[in-house]
Amino acid sequence: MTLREDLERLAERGDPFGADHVYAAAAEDAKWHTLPLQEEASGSSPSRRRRWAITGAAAAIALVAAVGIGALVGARHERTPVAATGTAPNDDATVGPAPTATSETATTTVRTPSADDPPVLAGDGPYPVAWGDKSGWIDSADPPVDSEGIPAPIPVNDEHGNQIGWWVGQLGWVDLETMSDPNYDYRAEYRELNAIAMAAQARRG
Amino acid sequence: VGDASGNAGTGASDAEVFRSIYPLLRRFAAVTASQDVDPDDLVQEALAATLARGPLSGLDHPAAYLRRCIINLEANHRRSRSRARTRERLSGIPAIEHPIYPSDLDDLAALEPRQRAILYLFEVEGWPFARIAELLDEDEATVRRRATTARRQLKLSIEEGTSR
Repeated sequence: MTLREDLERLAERGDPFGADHVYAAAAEDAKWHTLPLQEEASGSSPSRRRRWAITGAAAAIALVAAVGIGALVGARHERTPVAATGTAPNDDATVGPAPTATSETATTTVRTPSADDPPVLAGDGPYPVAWGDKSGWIDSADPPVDSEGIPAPIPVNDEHGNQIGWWVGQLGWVDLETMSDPNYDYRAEYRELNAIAMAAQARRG
Repeated sequence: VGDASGNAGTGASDAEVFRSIYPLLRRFAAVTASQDVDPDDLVQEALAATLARGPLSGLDHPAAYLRRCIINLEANHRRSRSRARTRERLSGIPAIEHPIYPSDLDDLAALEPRQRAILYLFEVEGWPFARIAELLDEDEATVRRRATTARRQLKLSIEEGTSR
């Protein structure tokens, strides 16, 4: 069997769900990522942390890409945080090579990914994370979730390995002082954000 | 924010755009993705990230844009369980089990995603290396080198398999 025939077989693997199902599911995911501020249930202005969580959802998408690209960069020994992601259309790390380029200019010890690199595996950190004007590293990109599906917080470290914050899936960066506040419950915030998203989705039909 | 914010008119247009490019994106994802990743998950993830930025109709080359998203996302090797659940809920169809493939496809699967993407675009879709390089944001020489390395790896695996 020729290489072309093998590739054709690989291209046909699995059972396609179909364009309409995939589009509907992606559009729903995108709604979650782009939840507008006015969908807040209360009339009060959202907290800075929550505002970051809502408007910074694109940064969470960028994190997903940065995780893989950052691991490929391979700066294991001399950690260099990746710069914060912006909001311009071309800043999307899902598409652009920005994290790699940034890291390459930050230190001379960083090497360029090559075809000979081993595949990147989930959990094989550290991974760069960026949120607003903050940046740091996490050691796992695949945190355990509880029975409600809420991900456990992951420590965010600086380039020296000192913890500078927490990372919670969907919520993003949580400051150390916020997390240690006895009145703060990240699970409650996660549930609240999820409820807002669901309500917004229901209103849109 | 385009269609993702609920603009019905744009949404209809985007759905049509996506419908027209879905088959080629799905095939590309099937080749690029690791065997434990559902190609539709990868397509969906790339589309969701794109829609969160704006409508597909706002892109000059939505297929190329999504292909690049797919290959970058695949590098993450992150299974998208929540997306599978969303699709399952929307369609009522349970998520598919990942099948085991014969050994000749295992050789292909052992390659890096970018290598598979390059071989697929060159061998099956007939793209010149210059165009593949543009898609992957790499120079043509690098793409050629990746293709050569991939062929060498495949040859080695086949020879090893034959000698066993």
